[in-house]
Amino acid sequence: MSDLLTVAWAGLTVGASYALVALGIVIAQRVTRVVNLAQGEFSVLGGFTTATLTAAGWPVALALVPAAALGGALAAVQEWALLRRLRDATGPILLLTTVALAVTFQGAEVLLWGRDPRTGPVLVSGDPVVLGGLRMSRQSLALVALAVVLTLVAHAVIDRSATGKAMSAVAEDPDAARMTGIDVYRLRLLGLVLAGTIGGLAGAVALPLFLVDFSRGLALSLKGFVAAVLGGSSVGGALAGGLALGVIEALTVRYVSDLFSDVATSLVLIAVVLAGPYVGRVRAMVGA
Amino acid sequence: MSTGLSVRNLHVGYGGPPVLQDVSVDVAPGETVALLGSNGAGKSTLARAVAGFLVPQQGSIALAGRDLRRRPPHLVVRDGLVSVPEGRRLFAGLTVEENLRLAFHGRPVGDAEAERRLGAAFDRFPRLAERRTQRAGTMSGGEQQMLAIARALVLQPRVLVMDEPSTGLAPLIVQQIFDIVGSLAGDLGAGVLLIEQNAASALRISDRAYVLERGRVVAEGPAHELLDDETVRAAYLGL
Amino acid sequence: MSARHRWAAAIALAAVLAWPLQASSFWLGLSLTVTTYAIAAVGLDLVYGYGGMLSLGHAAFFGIGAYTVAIGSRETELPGVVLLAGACLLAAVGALVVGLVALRTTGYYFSLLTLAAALIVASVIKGVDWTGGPSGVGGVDRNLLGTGELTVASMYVIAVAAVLGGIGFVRSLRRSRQGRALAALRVNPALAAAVGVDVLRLKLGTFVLGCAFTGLGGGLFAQSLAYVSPEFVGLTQSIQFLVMVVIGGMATGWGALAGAVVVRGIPEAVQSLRDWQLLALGLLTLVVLVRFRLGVVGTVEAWVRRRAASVSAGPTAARPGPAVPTTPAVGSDEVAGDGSGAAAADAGAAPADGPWERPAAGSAPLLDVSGLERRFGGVTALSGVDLQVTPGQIHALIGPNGAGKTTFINLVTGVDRPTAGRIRWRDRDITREPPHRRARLGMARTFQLVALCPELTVAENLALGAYHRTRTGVLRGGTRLLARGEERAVHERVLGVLDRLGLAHLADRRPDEIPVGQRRLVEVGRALMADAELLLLDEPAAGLNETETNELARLLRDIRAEGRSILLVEHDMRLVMDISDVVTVLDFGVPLRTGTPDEVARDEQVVAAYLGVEA
Repeated sequence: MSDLLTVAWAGLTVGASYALVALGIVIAQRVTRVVNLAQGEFSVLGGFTTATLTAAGWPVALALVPAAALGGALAAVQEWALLRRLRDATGPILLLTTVALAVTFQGAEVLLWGRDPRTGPVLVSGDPVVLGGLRMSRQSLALVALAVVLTLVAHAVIDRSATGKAMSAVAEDPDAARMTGIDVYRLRLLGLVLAGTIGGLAGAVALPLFLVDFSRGLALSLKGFVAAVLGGSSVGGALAGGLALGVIEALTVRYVSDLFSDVATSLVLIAVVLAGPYVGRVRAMVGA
Repeated sequence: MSTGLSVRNLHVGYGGPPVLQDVSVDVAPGETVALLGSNGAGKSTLARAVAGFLVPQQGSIALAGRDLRRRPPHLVVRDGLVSVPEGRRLFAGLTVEENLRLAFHGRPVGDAEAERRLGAAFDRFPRLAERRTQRAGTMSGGEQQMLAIARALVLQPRVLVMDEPSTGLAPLIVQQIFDIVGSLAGDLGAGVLLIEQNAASALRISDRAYVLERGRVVAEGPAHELLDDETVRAAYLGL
Repeated sequence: MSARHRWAAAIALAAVLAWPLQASSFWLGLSLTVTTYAIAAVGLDLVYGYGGMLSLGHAAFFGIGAYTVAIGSRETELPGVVLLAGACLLAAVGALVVGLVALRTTGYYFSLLTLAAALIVASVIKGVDWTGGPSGVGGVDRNLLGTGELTVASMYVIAVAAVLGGIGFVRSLRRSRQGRALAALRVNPALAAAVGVDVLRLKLGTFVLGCAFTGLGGGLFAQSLAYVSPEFVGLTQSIQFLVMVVIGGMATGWGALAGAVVVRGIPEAVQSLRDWQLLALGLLTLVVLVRFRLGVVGTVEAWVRRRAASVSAGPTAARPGPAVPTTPAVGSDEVAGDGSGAAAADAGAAPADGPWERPAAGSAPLLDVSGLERRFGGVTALSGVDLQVTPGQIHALIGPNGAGKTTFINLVTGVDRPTAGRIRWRDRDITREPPHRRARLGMARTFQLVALCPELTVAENLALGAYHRTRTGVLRGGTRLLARGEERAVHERVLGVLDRLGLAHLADRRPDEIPVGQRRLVEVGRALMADAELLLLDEPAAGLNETETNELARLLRDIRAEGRSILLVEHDMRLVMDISDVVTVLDFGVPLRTGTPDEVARDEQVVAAYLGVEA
């Protein structure tokens, strides 16, 4: 039993990092309709930045700021230099653009930090918290808490605020939004910056828990996407989907094989996509 | 200098041959001007051009003397040229009130002023006030058209461009909508450019009219003259 | 491109391809590797460039091919060619499984499902013992024919032959029946279905074939390197294939080869740049995607095309197009040209033994619609529509914008499904038939927003209309010789229809180079190519001037005189009143009146609701 709990907590921890990527993907998709497969790179870059700064003597808490800012700034560049210019492009071209951007970031990471994995110091030190038979490190608690807090913040901004309403208008019909006087590009930029900042921050906090290396970003993006789809592409769903995916993966690794964590992710995606139409029908019947 | 909308010798296209050629249209404050023509004549292209979605190849578009060429659509709206798009284009998932409040987004409109404008819109369309919290997508076509007009009104237009407001509406509702449109210019002191295929109904509520055919203005004049001109009626208006 | 230029290009290419044979073993080995990658990339070009299906997991099929050959070589004594055949087959089977799942979805779901599938393949390869796990399989032999090890040079010659064969195949395919169908599919699936393309089947076939070819590349790759390892199956590898196709130029065939040289050749040749490789590839891909969407080869081709156009534009522009279409009178056999041109000159009357037959006469309704209803959420777009189209009639459907006319056409052609009601074709209930089957029964449509393929010429757009009247499949289309006869028949018919429409001088232009009015005529011509019994025309006169409208009226009467029927949605009331036999007035989705033009014009209700004369 305590073994199962330990595995589940490990799953929730890794799931929190997926949830944060999923959150970024959902927000960016909300304003641009593009599935951003470069989202995982914002986390990786946030991790590398934190590793470098803390190694140079910065306190961890202070290093979070440039890590988050870098994610936000690069996401802004992505919107400004790529997505905006390609707004008339087809879906596959846009998706491919985000992949190419991910590769570009990977290339920069290789040049700046090499190919070896990095780690860094914890933000919250101290003895593990023991609850029943379960020992939880304070850093993993911090990561899960960050996922919950950022989801709540995103929920307040995206689902509740006037700006969020305007964002959903932008996603639904950009031209009609412009005819209502809404500055569509400002809102797209805002959404991307929010997504990038969340990514950078998530990478910084996840750094001591999971190693960071240049090849991790695309895999993270895929997990984030699967988590988002699993959660129904909503803000709250991203958190639920991420945590669920993390637990599924942890259970697979523990009880099947550590080589099959990607298989679990893939099977979840396939299952959700195949079940999608039925879920849609059920939702329509319920009137949700 | 005109205080309304002034389109001069406009040429517009989508990369290929120009769709509009040498089109000049004026709309003064307080007048309703009909722009008539069959599908494919270029009416919607003109609407998109004045709204800032298309950059003219030649010619000028000005609102109260201000050059609108290359001005992005959301700023055109803030300058006072507001469009009610064909097919209404409401945000189906948002409520009536949320649709209206979008108009205040990102603009220095104080709460009091916002409430005043919302109140004015609801006074004009009591039906919408009753349905304040209903999702726009679940309303009837006529109510949706009222909401589309109301959304334009809270933006306080100097010139209002209505693109085919009768599309997809039952005849009875069309009459109601035309009655509303006909009253706008007088009530607001704004200019109204009414783009319509339904020539007879449009001419009835307009002061002047232009007929567009194959991207060119082929007839223009006071509405009642066009309505009485047998050649124009037969050749262009299908009456 | 003139014949002389073509020869020069061919000789230059041959020299480049032959160069490694006399170079050092390093260059020869590298060239072999690059060529095997190019083979795999050609397969991806077929899937993505031609088929528009963005596969993010293509390395899986490369890996299946490579491991099939490697494990086969370890476990059996079979000659290499048999193993290569097995590589293709297993890759094809894998693609069939993936395709059957992923092609049910559209958009980015397809791409991410291929990615998921590839992750499963990679995990299995890494995780099970008989694939050698993370260390892979070594000692792959090159005993291709069972006669002993082949030299690297021989392998290279074989690989070059394979890649040239693949490029030739996809390039021939582009100009064939299925190539045109793929072009239509990429821009507008509804258009493809409307001309009779079984969209899902064509996509699946293209996907499987492309993956099989990628499997062949993987097999040759295993033989060229003599070992395989999981790194060639990973995500990075999949992305590299995509980058090759994008940089080289999508849907060009040659682009895959050019891309393979850039993506694999240059970094291997210049080892000191290894750390810069990812960054350079990423940036290069972004630049191509943002600024040169056509890629290297595509940009060159477009330039050649423009130059050719500007050279020939002089005389073409000077030559006035026929002001009046040379419309042959119905059944006028004397118009028919000599011998083989007979079908061409009179497009309406092809030889009875050809793919085109005259529609059977009869007076039973061709199309019988009853109680048709379509609701979208809370909005009723159509309800209670009963309508019959009799053979040889022009039946006009009129009504204000938004009255449900286009919805009606969508329901009849199967693009959209009714919420209630029946649609019968002759005596057959087709309410649930998919659109491509309905097209095959003999209905053809035009679109209100002109739907032509921008990448195809006017003549090719017309040829698309003959899709379901012809047979050539993907395999025959890619190997041109086998499809010559049918292609010639289609071409002759295209010439005939072009003549009939008065558009012969525009045959080689692309749709965006001709005026909107003529684009509408090309759409009508596409419907004529299908030799349909029922033409559903959605506002064919929109944007036409008076002369053009008169010509259209004449054309439509001729079509009727051939015994065909037309369902005409139109706002031009003079045209409608002029040529229609029956008029149905729709108002707010409800039929108001059906009758002769005169009856309808006199009906007070109609006048009030639609014709709108002052009450």
